[in-house]
Amino acid sequence: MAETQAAKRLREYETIFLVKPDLTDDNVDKLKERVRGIVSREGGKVLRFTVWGKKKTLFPVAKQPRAIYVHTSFLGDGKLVAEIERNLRNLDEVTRYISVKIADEVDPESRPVLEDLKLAGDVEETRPGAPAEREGGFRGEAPEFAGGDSEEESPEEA
Amino acid sequence: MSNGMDSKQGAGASRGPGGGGGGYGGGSRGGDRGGDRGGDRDRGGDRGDRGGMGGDDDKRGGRGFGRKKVCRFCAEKNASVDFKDQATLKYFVTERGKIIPRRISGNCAKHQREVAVAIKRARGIALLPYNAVVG
Repeated sequence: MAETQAAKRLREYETIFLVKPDLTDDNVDKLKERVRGIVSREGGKVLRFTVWGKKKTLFPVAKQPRAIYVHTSFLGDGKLVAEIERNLRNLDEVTRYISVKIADEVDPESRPVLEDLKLAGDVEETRPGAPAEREGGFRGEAPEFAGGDSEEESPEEA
Repeated sequence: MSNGMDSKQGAGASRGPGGGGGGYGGGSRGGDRGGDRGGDRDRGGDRGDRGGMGGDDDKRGGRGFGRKKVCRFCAEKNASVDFKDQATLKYFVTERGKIIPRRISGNCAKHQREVAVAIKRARGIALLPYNAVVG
């Protein structure tokens, strides 16, 4: 058993999933631990979890303009990915997920386990003011337009 | 003989518009972002005219494009296409969210394929829009 384990080469995958923005940090940690439990149960190896934080989505996801992004990279096989995706599908807090294979034939010993990261995400919502309302719908990406808007608005506010 | 002369003159005359074609190429860049099909149709007509005039297809000198485009990912050795890299992918979609074609972005075929897949993946997790309303 141990011999086969040592000789086994695994694939590297990454999974990103979006959770609802109203979740607390504790709940996000709980989700993380759940995924981590699945990976270790199925004989994989978690390399790193990165919580990207609350980010604005470019279209409403689950009727919300934002979502918390969680990224994880791990070693495992196809069955593990299927199991993770099955679990993510069943969790109500998870709105979207995607899994992508990064590399074939990775030696699990050669990849160190990295410590979890937590990024700040978008900081815009800490600033009180009008923009929160405008973010609600689709975001038109016209820089000149947005610039024109803010120029128009700032004199009014001042 | 006289026919040959005529066609040569025709070819010579067509080189003038050909030079204009270069300018047109620059113009089409802006036009295509707007998503109009007129640009393509114009170009097709241009080509047809030239073939009828003298068939000087081998003389591409007249059709001068401003500058040679280089694939961004080939130029930088350690640049790779990543569907998580929102800032880079934004460069390859229009304001509306459409994928910019290779002839305009300048990507090589290999990297354009990768970019297209990456954009579609990024759309799935709402990093890029399927359809952004402009204005």
